[in-house]
Amino acid sequence: MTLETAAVERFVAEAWKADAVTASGASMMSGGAIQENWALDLAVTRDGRTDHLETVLRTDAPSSIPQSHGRAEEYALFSAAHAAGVAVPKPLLLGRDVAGMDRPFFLMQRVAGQADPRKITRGDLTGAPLARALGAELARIHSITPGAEGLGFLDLPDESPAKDRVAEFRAALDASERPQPVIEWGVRWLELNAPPAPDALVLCHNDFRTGNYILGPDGTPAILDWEFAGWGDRHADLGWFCAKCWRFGQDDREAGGIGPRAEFYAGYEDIAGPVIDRDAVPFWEMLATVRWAVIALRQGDRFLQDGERSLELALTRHVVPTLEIDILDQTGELHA
Amino acid sequence: MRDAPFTADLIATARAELKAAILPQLSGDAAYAGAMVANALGIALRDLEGDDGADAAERAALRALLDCDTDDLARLNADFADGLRQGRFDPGQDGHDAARRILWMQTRARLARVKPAVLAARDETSAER
Repeated sequence: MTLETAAVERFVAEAWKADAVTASGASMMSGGAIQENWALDLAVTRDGRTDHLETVLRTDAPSSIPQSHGRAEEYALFSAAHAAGVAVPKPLLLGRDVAGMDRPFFLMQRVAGQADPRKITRGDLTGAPLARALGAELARIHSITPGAEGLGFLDLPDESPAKDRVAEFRAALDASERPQPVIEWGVRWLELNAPPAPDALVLCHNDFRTGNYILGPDGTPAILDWEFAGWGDRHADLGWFCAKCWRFGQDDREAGGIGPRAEFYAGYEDIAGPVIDRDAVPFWEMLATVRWAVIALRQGDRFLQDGERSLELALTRHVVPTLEIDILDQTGELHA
Repeated sequence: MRDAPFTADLIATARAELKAAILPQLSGDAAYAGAMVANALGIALRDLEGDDGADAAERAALRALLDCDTDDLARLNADFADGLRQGRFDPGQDGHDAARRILWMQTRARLARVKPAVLAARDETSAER
């Protein structure tokens, strides 16, 4: 895979009215199943002065999964988050219909640090301060509400955030060739226990977990991966972050495998005020488990049904039984 | 005629060689890919070794719960999933406890195949309690 750096140079020069732009050091960073990230260094010359920028160019992967926003929408989300004071890599430029580039892309500041969840959860920057910092970041994200500039493309929930998920999971199960009784059981439990629509809708990140932030060497996180964001219930993000399946084996650190839940909540409420309903979070942790199981199922179907010969996709399918154990454990505790 | 079937031994030996001689030499993305290959070979190996009658037990339990005499396990599971969705095995319904036992049986059988270590660790923890 290659990057058309000459096209990027021309685009940046025109957008920033620069006299000259030189791109160098293009290299593919660890990309996801949905998009590709390239490290790219830019030398931008304007009025006789040259600025050196370390950037990331983010573009769609050749194959992506449904329910994720495109790059233009993701750029709008990055921009809204940046404007709300969320620690994110600074968004720089959005390229749509750029001559010489076959897919939309955007440029953002490159942030140094670690994103590998297994390394973060086993590293020495875990603990109460990180849990508090991430709680505060999540609260800043949730300070963005419907009507925010540039986010008009996000749909409001149909029935309620929880009931909408139930419908979405059933549609996904119906699209899969093999019946999944344990996941059906979990979805039925969600249906029976779904809370009503919240009083206030907020911008949910919808993939806020360890693995989706870069942890700087000084312990400061920068929040990534905005492609699933949408209007929802704040407890959905709190539950997703704390769910057992996102603790990477560090089960006693209930906040994302990195710190105590109480510190995470405290960091959140430092910014948002006392708005967390502690009793509401277990429902959303259960929903998180079912949602990840449905996604893993879909990834596996790309291997089983769609013929994508990727070992990673095939093995993601095999995450499902561990999630099923969590589903059965949680319904056992919660059903009574 | 083919020689004696030795597929399982072959995969087991290849996997052991991969883990002993190759994985330690790898780093970064290659180490990650190597670990995935070892994991996949382990799953394939356990698939070859059969299911210890897990399918038969599951079939019998589903036939009893659903009062249905088909032998088609996929069909039984489709009916089971549908019943769960319709609420026929909700808490308070007659089949609830039996359905719950079957779900555990299915999950344990799947886990034994793909993540036996998780199952073993779980059983060890519950034995200590």
